[in-house]
Amino acid sequence: MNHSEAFEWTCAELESKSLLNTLEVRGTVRLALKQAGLEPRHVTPEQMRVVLERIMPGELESRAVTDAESVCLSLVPGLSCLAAGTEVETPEDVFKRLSG
Amino acid sequence: MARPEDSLAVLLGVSQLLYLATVLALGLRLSILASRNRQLPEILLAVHFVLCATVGYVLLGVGVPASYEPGMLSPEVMALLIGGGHLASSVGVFAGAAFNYFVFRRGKAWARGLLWLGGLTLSTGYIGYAMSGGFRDGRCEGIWFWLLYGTYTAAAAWVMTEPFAHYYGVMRKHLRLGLVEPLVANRFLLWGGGSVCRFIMLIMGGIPSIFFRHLSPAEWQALTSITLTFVALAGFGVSVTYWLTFFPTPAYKRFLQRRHESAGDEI
Repeated sequence: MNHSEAFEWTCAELESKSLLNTLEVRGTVRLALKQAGLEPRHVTPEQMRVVLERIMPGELESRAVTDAESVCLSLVPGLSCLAAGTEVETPEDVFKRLSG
Repeated sequence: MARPEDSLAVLLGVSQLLYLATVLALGLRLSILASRNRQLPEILLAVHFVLCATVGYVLLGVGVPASYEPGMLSPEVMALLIGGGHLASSVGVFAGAAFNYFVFRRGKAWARGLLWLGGLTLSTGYIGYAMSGGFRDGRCEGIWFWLLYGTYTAAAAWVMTEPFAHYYGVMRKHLRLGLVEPLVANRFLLWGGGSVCRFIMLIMGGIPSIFFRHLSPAEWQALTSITLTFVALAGFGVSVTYWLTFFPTPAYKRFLQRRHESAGDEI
Protein backbone atom coordinates (compact mmCIF):
# COMPACT_ATOMS: atom_id res chain seq x y z
CA MET A 1 0.00 0.00 0.00
CA ASN A 2 1.31 3.47 -0.85
CA HIS A 3 1.60 5.88 2.00
CA SER A 4 1.85 9.63 1.79
CA GLU A 5 5.19 11.39 1.96
CA ALA A 6 4.13 13.04 5.23
CA PHE A 7 3.50 9.63 6.81
CA GLU A 8 6.78 8.10 5.63
CA TRP A 9 8.83 11.14 6.60
CA THR A 10 7.27 11.37 10.07
CA CYS A 11 7.85 7.67 10.75
CA ALA A 12 11.49 7.88 9.67
CA GLU A 13 12.13 10.96 11.82
CA LEU A 14 10.38 9.53 14.87
CA GLU A 15 12.37 6.33 14.60
CA SER A 16 15.62 8.28 14.61
CA LYS A 17 14.57 10.44 17.57
CA SER A 18 13.09 7.77 19.82
CA LEU A 19 14.02 4.31 20.99
CA LEU A 20 11.09 2.76 19.16
CA ASN A 21 11.74 0.40 16.27
CA THR A 22 10.26 0.70 12.80
CA LEU A 23 7.17 -1.39 13.48
CA GLU A 24 6.44 0.36 16.77
CA VAL A 25 6.78 3.79 15.22
CA ARG A 26 4.60 3.00 12.24
CA GLY A 27 1.96 1.40 14.44
CA THR A 28 1.96 4.39 16.78
CA VAL A 29 1.59 6.86 13.93
CA ARG A 30 -1.19 4.77 12.42
CA LEU A 31 -3.07 4.76 15.72
CA ALA A 32 -2.68 8.52 16.06
CA LEU A 33 -3.98 9.03 12.53
CA LYS A 34 -6.94 6.78 13.23
CA GLN A 35 -7.83 8.89 16.24
CA ALA A 36 -7.83 11.92 13.97
CA GLY A 37 -9.93 10.21 11.30
CA LEU A 38 -7.05 10.30 8.80
CA GLU A 39 -5.46 7.68 6.58
CA PRO A 40 -1.72 7.05 6.06
CA ARG A 41 -2.28 7.08 2.29
CA HIS A 42 -3.76 10.56 2.13
CA VAL A 43 -2.51 12.46 5.17
CA THR A 44 -1.03 15.83 4.20
CA PRO A 45 1.87 17.63 5.93
CA GLU A 46 -0.57 20.14 7.40
CA GLN A 47 -2.78 17.41 8.83
CA MET A 48 0.29 15.57 10.16
CA ARG A 49 1.40 18.77 11.90
CA VAL A 50 -1.89 18.89 13.79
CA VAL A 51 -1.56 15.22 14.71
CA LEU A 52 1.99 15.77 15.97
CA GLU A 53 0.91 18.73 18.08
CA ARG A 54 -2.34 17.33 19.47
CA ILE A 55 -2.28 13.53 19.52
CA MET A 56 1.20 12.11 19.07
CA PRO A 57 2.74 13.39 22.35
CA GLY A 58 0.23 11.36 24.35
CA GLU A 59 0.76 8.29 22.22
CA LEU A 60 4.55 8.48 22.62
CA GLU A 61 4.32 9.08 26.36
CA SER A 62 2.19 5.97 26.72
CA ARG A 63 5.07 4.10 25.06
CA ALA A 64 7.60 5.49 27.55
CA VAL A 65 9.24 7.88 25.10
CA THR A 66 10.90 10.60 27.13
CA ASP A 67 10.23 14.24 26.35
CA ALA A 68 7.58 13.20 23.84
CA GLU A 69 6.21 16.68 23.28
CA SER A 70 9.61 18.13 22.36
CA VAL A 71 10.28 15.21 20.02
CA CYS A 72 6.99 15.84 18.24
CA LEU A 73 7.40 19.59 18.02
CA SER A 74 10.92 19.19 16.65
CA LEU A 75 9.41 17.52 13.58
CA VAL A 76 7.02 20.33 12.74
CA PRO A 77 9.47 22.63 10.91
CA GLY A 78 10.63 19.73 8.73
CA LEU A 79 7.07 18.87 7.79
CA SER A 80 6.53 22.32 6.37
CA CYS A 81 9.36 21.68 3.91
CA LEU A 82 7.50 18.75 2.40
CA ALA A 83 5.48 19.38 -0.70
CA ALA A 84 1.74 19.40 -0.16
CA GLY A 85 1.83 16.03 -1.90
CA THR A 86 -0.56 14.53 -4.35
CA GLU A 87 -3.74 16.19 -3.32
CA VAL A 88 -6.45 13.57 -3.39
CA GLU A 89 -9.85 15.16 -3.45
CA THR A 90 -11.55 14.38 -0.15
CA PRO A 91 -15.28 14.33 0.61
CA GLU A 92 -14.69 17.54 2.59
CA ASP A 93 -13.30 19.25 -0.53
CA VAL A 94 -16.40 18.28 -2.49
CA PHE A 95 -18.87 19.24 0.23
CA LYS A 96 -17.06 22.52 0.76
CA ARG A 97 -17.55 23.41 -2.91
CA LEU A 98 -21.19 22.41 -3.06
CA SER A 99 -22.60 25.51 -1.46
CA GLY A 100 -20.36 27.69 -3.62
CA MET B 1 -65.15 21.19 9.77
CA ALA B 2 -62.28 19.86 7.66
CA ARG B 3 -62.22 16.10 7.11
CA PRO B 4 -58.99 14.25 8.01
CA GLU B 5 -58.40 13.36 4.35
CA ASP B 6 -58.68 17.05 3.40
CA SER B 7 -56.10 17.97 6.04
CA LEU B 8 -53.81 15.25 4.75
CA ALA B 9 -54.27 16.45 1.18
CA VAL B 10 -53.28 19.99 2.20
CA LEU B 11 -50.30 18.75 4.22
CA LEU B 12 -49.17 16.55 1.35
CA GLY B 13 -49.71 19.28 -1.23
CA VAL B 14 -47.68 21.84 0.70
CA SER B 15 -44.96 19.28 1.44
CA GLN B 16 -44.67 18.14 -2.16
CA LEU B 17 -44.63 21.68 -3.54
CA LEU B 18 -41.91 22.60 -1.08
CA TYR B 19 -39.99 19.43 -1.93
CA LEU B 20 -40.21 20.03 -5.68
CA ALA B 21 -39.27 23.70 -5.33
CA THR B 22 -36.25 22.69 -3.23
CA VAL B 23 -34.94 19.92 -5.47
CA LEU B 24 -35.55 22.01 -8.59
CA ALA B 25 -33.61 24.91 -7.06
CA LEU B 26 -30.80 22.54 -6.07
CA GLY B 27 -30.75 20.96 -9.53
CA LEU B 28 -30.47 24.37 -11.20
CA ARG B 29 -27.92 25.58 -8.66
CA LEU B 30 -25.74 22.48 -9.16
CA SER B 31 -26.13 22.63 -12.96
CA ILE B 32 -24.80 26.19 -12.94
CA LEU B 33 -21.97 25.20 -10.60
CA ALA B 34 -21.13 22.15 -12.74
CA SER B 35 -21.12 24.19 -15.95
CA ARG B 36 -18.62 26.56 -14.34
CA ASN B 37 -16.19 24.19 -12.66
CA ARG B 38 -16.69 21.00 -14.75
CA GLN B 39 -16.16 18.84 -11.66
CA LEU B 40 -17.54 15.31 -11.82
CA PRO B 41 -19.28 15.27 -8.39
CA GLU B 42 -21.20 18.45 -9.22
CA ILE B 43 -22.18 17.10 -12.66
CA LEU B 44 -23.40 13.81 -11.16
CA LEU B 45 -25.36 15.51 -8.41
CA ALA B 46 -26.93 17.97 -10.86
CA VAL B 47 -28.03 15.06 -13.07
CA HIS B 48 -29.38 13.27 -10.01
CA PHE B 49 -31.44 16.22 -8.79
CA VAL B 50 -32.78 17.23 -12.19
CA LEU B 51 -33.61 13.77 -13.53
CA CYS B 52 -34.41 11.64 -10.50
CA ALA B 53 -35.61 14.05 -7.84
CA THR B 54 -37.52 16.38 -10.19
CA VAL B 55 -38.41 15.06 -13.69
CA GLY B 56 -38.76 11.38 -12.77
CA TYR B 57 -40.59 12.20 -9.56
CA VAL B 58 -43.16 14.38 -11.33
CA LEU B 59 -43.74 11.98 -14.25
CA LEU B 60 -44.17 8.95 -12.00
CA GLY B 61 -46.14 11.01 -9.48
CA VAL B 62 -48.71 11.64 -12.22
CA GLY B 63 -48.42 8.35 -14.10
CA VAL B 64 -48.61 5.82 -11.28
CA PRO B 65 -51.79 7.21 -9.63
CA ALA B 66 -53.37 7.49 -13.10
CA SER B 67 -52.73 3.77 -13.57
CA TYR B 68 -55.19 3.09 -10.72
CA GLU B 69 -57.99 4.34 -13.00
CA PRO B 70 -57.81 2.34 -16.24
CA GLY B 71 -58.86 4.42 -19.24
CA MET B 72 -58.18 7.72 -17.51
CA LEU B 73 -55.22 8.39 -19.80
CA SER B 74 -54.48 6.96 -23.22
CA PRO B 75 -51.88 4.14 -23.36
CA GLU B 76 -49.53 6.43 -25.26
CA VAL B 77 -49.66 9.11 -22.57
CA MET B 78 -49.30 6.47 -19.87
CA ALA B 79 -46.26 5.04 -21.64
CA LEU B 80 -44.76 8.51 -21.88
CA LEU B 81 -45.33 9.22 -18.18
CA ILE B 82 -44.29 5.83 -16.81
CA GLY B 83 -41.54 5.09 -19.34
CA GLY B 84 -40.16 8.62 -19.22
CA GLY B 85 -40.44 8.70 -15.44
CA HIS B 86 -38.54 5.47 -14.96
CA LEU B 87 -35.93 6.46 -17.55
CA ALA B 88 -35.27 9.78 -15.81
CA SER B 89 -35.30 8.09 -12.41
CA SER B 90 -32.95 5.30 -13.50
CA VAL B 91 -30.37 7.66 -14.99
CA GLY B 92 -30.71 9.95 -11.98
CA VAL B 93 -30.40 7.11 -9.47
CA PHE B 94 -27.26 5.86 -11.23
CA ALA B 95 -25.82 9.39 -11.14
CA GLY B 96 -26.57 9.59 -7.41
CA ALA B 97 -24.87 6.27 -6.77
CA ALA B 98 -21.91 7.35 -8.91
CA PHE B 99 -21.65 10.56 -6.84
CA ASN B 100 -21.56 8.41 -3.72
CA TYR B 101 -18.82 6.23 -5.21
CA PHE B 102 -16.61 9.07 -6.47
CA VAL B 103 -16.92 11.14 -3.30
CA PHE B 104 -16.82 8.51 -0.55
CA ARG B 105 -15.41 5.28 -1.97
CA ARG B 106 -13.33 6.17 -5.01
CA GLY B 107 -10.99 3.36 -5.99
CA LYS B 108 -12.61 0.73 -3.75
CA ALA B 109 -13.20 -2.39 -5.81
CA TRP B 110 -16.36 -3.45 -3.93
CA ALA B 111 -17.92 -0.01 -4.37
CA ARG B 112 -17.06 0.06 -8.08
CA GLY B 113 -18.61 -3.41 -8.40
CA LEU B 114 -21.71 -2.23 -6.55
CA LEU B 115 -22.02 0.76 -8.87
CA TRP B 116 -21.80 -1.33 -12.03
CA LEU B 117 -24.16 -3.93 -10.60
CA GLY B 118 -26.62 -1.12 -9.96
CA GLY B 119 -26.21 0.09 -13.55
CA LEU B 120 -26.84 -3.42 -14.81
CA THR B 121 -29.95 -4.01 -12.71
CA LEU B 122 -31.35 -0.58 -13.58
CA SER B 123 -30.95 -1.11 -17.31
CA THR B 124 -32.14 -4.72 -17.18
CA GLY B 125 -35.11 -3.82 -14.99
CA TYR B 126 -36.04 -0.89 -17.23
CA ILE B 127 -35.90 -2.90 -20.46
CA GLY B 128 -37.69 -5.88 -18.91
CA TYR B 129 -40.43 -3.67 -17.46
CA ALA B 130 -40.91 -1.97 -20.83
CA MET B 131 -41.01 -5.24 -22.77
CA SER B 132 -43.46 -6.82 -20.34
CA GLY B 133 -45.93 -3.95 -20.84
CA GLY B 134 -45.29 -2.15 -17.57
CA PHE B 135 -45.20 1.27 -19.23
CA ARG B 136 -48.73 0.86 -20.55
CA ASP B 137 -50.46 -0.26 -17.36
CA GLY B 138 -48.03 1.09 -14.75
CA ARG B 139 -48.46 -2.01 -12.64
CA CYS B 140 -46.23 -2.26 -9.58
CA GLU B 141 -45.59 -5.96 -9.67
CA GLY B 142 -43.55 -8.57 -11.47
CA ILE B 143 -39.86 -9.36 -11.42
CA TRP B 144 -38.86 -6.42 -13.66
CA PHE B 145 -40.68 -3.87 -11.53
CA TRP B 146 -39.09 -5.27 -8.38
CA LEU B 147 -35.67 -5.25 -9.98
CA LEU B 148 -36.09 -1.58 -10.84
CA TYR B 149 -37.71 -0.51 -7.57
CA GLY B 150 -35.29 -2.66 -5.56
CA THR B 151 -32.33 -0.93 -7.20
CA TYR B 152 -33.81 2.52 -6.52
CA THR B 153 -34.20 1.52 -2.87
CA ALA B 154 -30.75 -0.03 -2.57
CA ALA B 155 -29.11 3.04 -4.14
CA ALA B 156 -31.03 5.34 -1.79
CA ALA B 157 -29.93 3.21 1.16
CA TRP B 158 -26.29 3.46 0.08
CA VAL B 159 -26.51 7.22 -0.44
CA MET B 160 -27.94 7.74 3.05
CA THR B 161 -25.51 5.35 4.71
CA GLU B 162 -22.17 6.83 3.63
CA PRO B 163 -22.44 10.36 5.02
CA PHE B 164 -24.58 9.49 8.00
CA ALA B 165 -23.13 6.28 9.37
CA HIS B 166 -19.59 6.44 8.05
CA TYR B 167 -18.36 9.95 7.38
CA TYR B 168 -20.12 11.75 10.22
CA GLY B 169 -17.78 10.08 12.72
CA VAL B 170 -14.72 11.06 10.69
CA MET B 171 -15.95 14.66 10.58
CA ARG B 172 -16.38 14.79 14.34
CA LYS B 173 -12.76 13.72 14.75
CA HIS B 174 -11.58 16.31 12.23
CA LEU B 175 -13.66 19.01 13.89
CA ARG B 176 -12.16 18.31 17.30
CA LEU B 177 -8.71 18.93 15.81
CA GLY B 178 -9.73 21.96 13.79
CA LEU B 179 -9.13 20.13 10.49
CA VAL B 180 -12.53 21.09 9.08
CA GLU B 181 -14.91 24.03 9.40
CA PRO B 182 -18.06 23.44 11.48
CA LEU B 183 -20.24 24.40 8.51
CA VAL B 184 -18.63 21.82 6.21
CA ALA B 185 -18.71 19.11 8.88
CA ASN B 186 -22.37 19.81 9.56
CA ARG B 187 -23.13 19.56 5.83
CA PHE B 188 -22.50 15.79 6.00
CA LEU B 189 -25.06 15.46 8.78
CA LEU B 190 -27.63 17.47 6.83
CA TRP B 191 -26.98 15.54 3.62
CA GLY B 192 -27.32 12.25 5.49
CA GLY B 193 -30.48 13.38 7.27
CA GLY B 194 -32.04 14.54 4.00
CA SER B 195 -31.12 11.25 2.37
CA VAL B 196 -32.82 9.34 5.19
CA CYS B 197 -35.98 11.40 4.59
CA ARG B 198 -35.80 10.66 0.85
CA PHE B 199 -35.41 6.98 1.62
CA ILE B 200 -38.59 7.16 3.72
CA MET B 201 -40.38 8.96 0.86
CA LEU B 202 -39.31 6.26 -1.58
CA ILE B 203 -40.40 3.37 0.63
CA MET B 204 -43.64 4.93 1.85
CA GLY B 205 -44.55 6.34 -1.55
CA GLY B 206 -44.23 2.91 -3.14
CA ILE B 207 -46.25 0.94 -0.59
CA PRO B 208 -49.78 1.97 -1.76
CA SER B 209 -48.92 1.17 -5.39
CA ILE B 210 -47.60 -2.23 -4.44
CA PHE B 211 -50.68 -3.20 -2.43
CA PHE B 212 -53.26 -1.52 -4.69
CA ARG B 213 -54.44 -4.76 -6.28
CA HIS B 214 -54.28 -6.81 -3.09
CA LEU B 215 -56.41 -4.84 -0.61
CA SER B 216 -60.04 -3.83 -0.36
CA PRO B 217 -60.76 -0.15 -1.17
CA ALA B 218 -61.25 0.67 2.52
CA GLU B 219 -58.04 -1.06 3.55
CA TRP B 220 -56.13 0.56 0.74
CA GLN B 221 -57.51 3.99 1.70
CA ALA B 222 -56.40 3.48 5.31
CA LEU B 223 -52.95 2.33 4.23
CA THR B 224 -52.60 5.26 1.85
CA SER B 225 -53.48 7.76 4.59
CA ILE B 226 -50.71 6.39 6.79
CA THR B 227 -48.04 6.19 4.12
CA LEU B 228 -48.85 9.60 2.66
CA THR B 229 -48.55 11.16 6.10
CA PHE B 230 -45.01 9.78 6.26
CA VAL B 231 -44.34 11.02 2.71
CA ALA B 232 -45.57 14.51 3.63
CA LEU B 233 -43.47 14.71 6.80
CA ALA B 234 -40.40 13.30 5.06
CA GLY B 235 -40.91 15.81 2.24
CA PHE B 236 -40.61 18.65 4.76
CA GLY B 237 -37.52 16.97 6.19
CA VAL B 238 -35.86 16.71 2.78
CA SER B 239 -36.66 20.32 1.94
CA VAL B 240 -35.22 21.75 5.14
CA THR B 241 -32.09 19.60 5.35
CA TYR B 242 -31.16 19.79 1.67
CA TRP B 243 -31.78 23.53 1.58
CA LEU B 244 -29.48 24.08 4.54
CA THR B 245 -26.89 21.75 2.97
CA PHE B 246 -26.61 23.84 -0.17
CA PHE B 247 -27.97 27.25 0.87
CA PRO B 248 -27.08 27.70 4.55
CA THR B 249 -28.66 30.85 5.88
CA PRO B 250 -26.54 33.40 7.79
CA ALA B 251 -28.52 32.62 10.95
CA TYR B 252 -27.79 28.90 10.59
CA LYS B 253 -24.08 29.61 10.05
CA ARG B 254 -24.01 31.72 13.20
CA PHE B 255 -25.86 29.01 15.12
CA LEU B 256 -23.27 26.40 14.09
CA GLN B 257 -20.36 28.66 14.94
CA ARG B 258 -21.77 29.43 18.38
CA ARG B 259 -22.43 25.75 19.01
CA HIS B 260 -18.93 24.84 17.98
CA GLU B 261 -17.36 27.50 20.17
CA SER B 262 -19.39 26.49 23.21
CA ALA B 263 -19.23 22.71 22.76
CA GLY B 264 -15.86 22.36 21.09
CA ASP B 265 -16.53 19.26 19.07
CA GLU B 266 -20.25 19.27 18.51
CA ILE B 267 -21.45 19.45 14.92
